[in-house]
Amino acid sequence: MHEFSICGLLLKALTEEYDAIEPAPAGLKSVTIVIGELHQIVPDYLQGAWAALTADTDYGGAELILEFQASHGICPACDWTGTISPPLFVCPTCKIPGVELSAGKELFIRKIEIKT
Amino acid sequence: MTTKEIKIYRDLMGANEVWAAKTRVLLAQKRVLMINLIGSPGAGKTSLLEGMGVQLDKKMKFAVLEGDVETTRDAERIREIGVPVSQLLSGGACHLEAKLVHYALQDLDLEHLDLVVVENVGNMVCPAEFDIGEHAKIAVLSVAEGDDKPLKYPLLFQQAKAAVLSKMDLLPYVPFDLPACRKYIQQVNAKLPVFEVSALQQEGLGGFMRWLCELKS
Ligand SMILES: Nc1nc2c(ncn2[C@@H]2O[C@H](COP(=O)(O)OP(=O)(O)OP(=O)(O)O)[C@@H](O)[C@H]2O)c(=O)[nH]1
Ligand SMILES: [Mg+2]
Ligand SMILES: [Zn+2]
Repeated sequence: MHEFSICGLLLKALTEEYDAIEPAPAGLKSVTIVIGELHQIVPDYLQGAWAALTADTDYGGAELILEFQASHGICPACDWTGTISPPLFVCPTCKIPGVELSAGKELFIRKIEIKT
Repeated sequence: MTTKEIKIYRDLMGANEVWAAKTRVLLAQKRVLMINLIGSPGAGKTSLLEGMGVQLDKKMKFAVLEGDVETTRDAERIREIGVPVSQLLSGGACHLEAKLVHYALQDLDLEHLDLVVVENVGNMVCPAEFDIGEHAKIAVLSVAEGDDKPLKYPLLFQQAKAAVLSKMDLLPYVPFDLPACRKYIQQVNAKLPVFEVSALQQEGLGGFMRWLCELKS
């Protein structure tokens, strides 16, 4: 249930960006966030938190769009790079564990759509 | 109505990260090591702390921040063995966040401490998502919980700097495949040191505490 806390942090970051837009927008249409595959975030819970925390605010009715980022890794032993499937960080070529993550831990706002 | 798209690229955890960064500065100034114990309810985190209290006392001065949803029972257990402790009540949340930890740290006598151990709220999922400014997250997994947990909760084992396998004295009584569990941990995080401990029988704590001393220096 940490989705509520994460949504609270999202709103903080979003508001700082939104309030800085000149001229002030007429409203928010959507916000798109990128979630790395390794995060254990339940989309439905996050959407529920978004609906609850934005109701009766300037963002009420705005859409939360989730984009998921697959995990990519690099094998330090053989330089293989590619998509990995957590939980296994084992190199598909040389079969050695220890693949280093190059993508999959992201958690950021990518874009917003405002009403003008 | 017209709409306009604005690209942003902004870290979502920023508000938490600000406090975590303040904590790292504070800990560096005071030369204090901080670790964050994470594991399911009943994994044996408080018992591990009680065991450390008995053995660590002379080598390292430490204090405990106890994170719980409700009650001060764990804090009372720690106070009983003479270790300074503050209770952090998460107010229903399933994890601790950096701001609360930062304020609690400021109330500790950091000048006279070497180590602060944070016992996070019992939960293998949520606390792994939050940076509280610690130097190391420690995954605590008891043999009673099953050997497949590293594969089911990979984020924790990915983020951790060490894992403690607790309640080793129960190994003869539970279906827990120790070599398999160690293999799963390695598949998730190849370099993770694993310590086998029984807090009840005061066994295996030495290795974990030597590792802590090395981390400190
Ligand atoms: N057999 C055995 N039991 C243990 C050991 N360590 C802890 N226990 C028991 O496991 C139960 C839970 O231990 P705690 O230390 O309270 O666990 P915790 O992780 O702090 O639990 P929460 O704070 O509630 O999440 C208690 O009944 C302990 O006595 C151990 O090494 N061996
Ligand atoms: Mg406890
Ligand atoms: Zn390889």
